[in-house]
Amino acid sequence: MALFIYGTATNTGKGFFTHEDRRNFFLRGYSGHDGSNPIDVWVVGNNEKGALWLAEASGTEKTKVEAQALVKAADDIARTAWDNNDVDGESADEKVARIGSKPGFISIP
Amino acid sequence: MSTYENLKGLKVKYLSADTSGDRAQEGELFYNSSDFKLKSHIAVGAWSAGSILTTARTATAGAGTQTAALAIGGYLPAPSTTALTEEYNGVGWSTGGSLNVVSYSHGAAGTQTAGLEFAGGPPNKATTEEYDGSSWTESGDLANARRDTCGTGTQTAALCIGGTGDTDATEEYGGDSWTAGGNLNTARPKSGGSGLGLQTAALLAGGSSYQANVEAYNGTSWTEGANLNTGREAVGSSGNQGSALIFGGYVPGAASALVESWDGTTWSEIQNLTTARYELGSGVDSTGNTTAIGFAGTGGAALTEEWNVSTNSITAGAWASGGNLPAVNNGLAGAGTQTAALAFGSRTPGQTQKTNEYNGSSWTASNDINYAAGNSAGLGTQTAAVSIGGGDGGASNNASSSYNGTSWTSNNTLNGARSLAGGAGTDAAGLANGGFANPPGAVLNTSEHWDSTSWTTSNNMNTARMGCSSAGTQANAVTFGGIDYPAGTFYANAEDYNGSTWTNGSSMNAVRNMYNGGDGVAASAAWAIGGDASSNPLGSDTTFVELYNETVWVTQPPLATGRRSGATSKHGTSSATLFFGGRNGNSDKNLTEEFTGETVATGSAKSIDFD
Repeated sequence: MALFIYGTATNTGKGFFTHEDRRNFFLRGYSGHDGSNPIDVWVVGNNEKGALWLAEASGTEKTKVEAQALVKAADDIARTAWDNNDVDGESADEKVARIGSKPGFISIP
Repeated sequence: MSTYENLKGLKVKYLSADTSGDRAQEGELFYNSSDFKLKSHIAVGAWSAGSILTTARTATAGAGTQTAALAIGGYLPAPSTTALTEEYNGVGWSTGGSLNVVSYSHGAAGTQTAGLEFAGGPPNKATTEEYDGSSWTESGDLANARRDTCGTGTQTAALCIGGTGDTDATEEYGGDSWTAGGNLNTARPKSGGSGLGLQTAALLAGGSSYQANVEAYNGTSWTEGANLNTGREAVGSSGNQGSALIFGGYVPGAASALVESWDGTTWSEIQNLTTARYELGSGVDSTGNTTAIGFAGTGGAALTEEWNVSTNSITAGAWASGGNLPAVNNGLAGAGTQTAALAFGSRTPGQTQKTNEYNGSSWTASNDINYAAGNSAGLGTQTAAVSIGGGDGGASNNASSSYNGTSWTSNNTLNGARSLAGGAGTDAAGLANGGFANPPGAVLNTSEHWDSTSWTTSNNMNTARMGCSSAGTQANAVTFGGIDYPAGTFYANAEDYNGSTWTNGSSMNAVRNMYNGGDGVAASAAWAIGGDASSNPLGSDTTFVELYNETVWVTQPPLATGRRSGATSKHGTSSATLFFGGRNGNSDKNLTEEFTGETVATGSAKSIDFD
């Protein structure tokens, strides 16, 4: 049995996940992009309560490959934006100081 | 005729209401004359979540008890191994001394301050090390190198049982060397986690291949015992020959969450682990089947679970989603408490002067701060907050303003421009420290006091840093984390402040740039929440959380969504803190998460049914 299930669901704020949810199953959120809009990608512990949470959050279940692709799409956008964010005469160190290091690629568990 | 009082030392009482709180005793009998029922407080067992390890791992070895455990070495998710030891204090994990020889799939015995580690591999190892609570020292080797083995007992009277390399052999450790013990009746190429009890009264339950077989050791020979209900290998265990637990493990094709309890006669299935896992760590605690700790393992990552049999109901601390900010934000600052918080300033375009108030459920817009305050720091409460520096897009500035619950007013300026500084204290006695001044592009070690009227220079920190975060009061503060520039060195160490002088303190378990992720109304309960840990495997937007008591940093339950450059409420306590906004990947976030600490409540009395 797989350790995790994967899905997308919009974090609606208060009550989206509760303290009890966090005690009942693993939950980790990532920034994804579906080609048109940013999207929240969730890695959820694969037990009954985790699956129920994703359903109640109106989530869409994804395969790990699909979920990773959504995260990578966001990473690609981030890296391109970083590459294009230049100021004339600015050194590499100054750029890092201004906007931080170039984003890397995130691997979901 | 014997009486219940003679047998248990408890009188049967006639009461008008249930006993409760600290007057409730396990096993007491009383008649409640209000609801006409005979009642008792009955202990029940339950698993509850503990804090996460600093480093997720599998094939680790465990020693000690639920309130003083060791996680020793192991195999990391990436194809590498670790010598790292972590210590659990019943609340969270902190870093201990590293093994001299990296090891995994090994055995352990003893306590947190007198531990023992041995064997492991592949290749099979025979090495043995002893732990004194801070460092490991090599001791006498096993006669036969082996891996996937298990251990139990104490540092001076331990057992190493089975495993690949010597599948049916037992070796006994006497404090400096190993001697041959009795052979198992059933060989086990993998016995990991299956051993429990003492050198002269041990139990071995499960092991490969999917063994249900159980054997008991008397210091000389092994005898067959009652089988487990479910055969499995790579389990966790706790207890003694007459009272024990076996939990988790590997069953054909899957990680198991099954738990079985041994009462000296029968194995009974009880409440499952929350997270199925195998090759996990567990303590070496001969108390019995009423207490246990399990951690890490394949499927378990860095998660810890605690088993307790009690009349009390234990609810573990956790983060829950709070109300979303009206807009996404990063590089914002905060003040207040979990139920009365303030968010202001931002690096996010269009948000640089925004102010929002939180009531424990939702954020409401208030009047803008009177300068662009991206990467500023905050201190104080929702109705008496102070901003420290920052600027448009995160530039540094010597500006400071005060908020009275309605609007912002400019203060006398800081003595130097700064952004990404630490802030702590109150509107009447505040502290600003560290940060970045650009121009000239310098990382700062300076600190200043705020007295509700003006800023006064205090003594310098020992380490110049930006992105450090602070907690506590002007007279007793702590600052931690941060980064140098342009060298890019990340700092883990804390500096303790006594109102005058900065002194080097303990290092966080995870080195990182904190931004405004530090919280705490007192230095004795300082939170380090999220941040940029891109100098280590936790990554640039970590979920990692830890808590400082002015002596040691211990891990806490993680955020659901890791973020850097978010902000906290600044006046949080050890049981209630708030983290909001920040950046995950390239996305600014409007997210809020609320932490509520562990609670212990007396369970209700149970009625005794005579029908």
